[in-house]
Amino acid sequence: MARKLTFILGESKFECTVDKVDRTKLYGRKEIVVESAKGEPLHKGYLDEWGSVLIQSSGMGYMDDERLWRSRNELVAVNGLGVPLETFPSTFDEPIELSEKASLDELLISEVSAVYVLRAHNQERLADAVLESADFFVFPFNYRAGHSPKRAFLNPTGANLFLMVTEVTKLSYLQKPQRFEIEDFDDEDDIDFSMM
Amino acid sequence: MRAIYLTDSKQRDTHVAFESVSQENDTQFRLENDDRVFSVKVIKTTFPSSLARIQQMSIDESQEIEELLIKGDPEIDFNYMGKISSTTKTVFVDDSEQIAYHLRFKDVTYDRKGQETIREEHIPSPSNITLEIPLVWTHKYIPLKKLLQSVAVTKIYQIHHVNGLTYDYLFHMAKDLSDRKCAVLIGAGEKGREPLRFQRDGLPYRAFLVGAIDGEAYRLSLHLSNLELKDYVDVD
Repeated sequence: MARKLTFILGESKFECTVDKVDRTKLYGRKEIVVESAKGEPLHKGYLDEWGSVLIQSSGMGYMDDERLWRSRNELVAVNGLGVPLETFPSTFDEPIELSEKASLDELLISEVSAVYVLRAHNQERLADAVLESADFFVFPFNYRAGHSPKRAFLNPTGANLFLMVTEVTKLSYLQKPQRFEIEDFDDEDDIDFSMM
Repeated sequence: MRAIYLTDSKQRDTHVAFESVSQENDTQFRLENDDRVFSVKVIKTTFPSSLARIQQMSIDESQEIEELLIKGDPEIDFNYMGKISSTTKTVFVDDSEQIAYHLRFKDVTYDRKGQETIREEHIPSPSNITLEIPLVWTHKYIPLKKLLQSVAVTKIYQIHHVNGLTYDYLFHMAKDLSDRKCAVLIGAGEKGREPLRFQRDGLPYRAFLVGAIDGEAYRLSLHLSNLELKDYVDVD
């Protein structure tokens, strides 16, 4: 069964299914394939550092300082300062209160990592309510339970309502280059030509 | 920082710099007692333990794949699975698992239903952001709200000045766009109709320049998109 997001806006509740929008669904796709000189299809593989084994696929594992394997559930996620990170539930597990409004500039300086089209029987009413209330509503979004929720914007675009999952960027204002200070010269100041 | 060759609204061109503004994820993993761990790359499957090889083994109808998997462990290469493999080299192998040395690259295009429509020799596409022809300010202005309701911007680059002259140049571009409250479409090629490509054979993107100013400071950014905000159901 398709997973549903539940939005609460004022007194109203909206249940929406989400459907990912990607290039393949809209335009098709193009890929580079590799063939032998005879035109036979080839498969990608990897040679290890000694050239002794043809690897088909690799995975990642964790080891401690004593080079013992550690499973993922023995580990704790921390930030760059070593502070443990809180685990947030999946956004699908709890209703989303639409209370935080976002400006045009907030979406403008964010990079979109995923786009979903929302579908609901009362979708037009939700789109109208969002348009009347703000440019955009924003809320934390975790597809699955995790440590670093992304920011999702509700973006009504005429007939459709899109959910834009984003990450904020470090875009900043750049200052005028000022490498030296110019000392004021008075008209009566002589220009020193001795310069020795 | 990399260089980019831009034109302004008065067709004055120069090289300036740009850089990614994506935030880095600083999440790390530790043991509960705060001891550190490090991640290692390990071998999961080798070609002798691949599904294709198991399928070859099950050609005899009396030996179905599931039977082979239940009876033994052909999917596990006990000599190599789980072995640490820090550096690898990419190779291409044929159906008999021999490394091929003469390669031909083909571009294959599929329609929205996954049907192959075109197969042709691959011609490498170079990056086009620092060619002899500068990127063109197309004078196609798009209000910012309309831009955000029309496309998904998946990558943003900040444009940087490299000296006092280019500060002035970029500041006025940012002010022009800020006054108009619009983004401008930036294109490649003599007429500016081609999309931008930042790496050789990289994805082509439509690019929109967006500007804002704050006193003498400016923010000029290139917003890249290869996805329109459309419901694919409406396209059918």
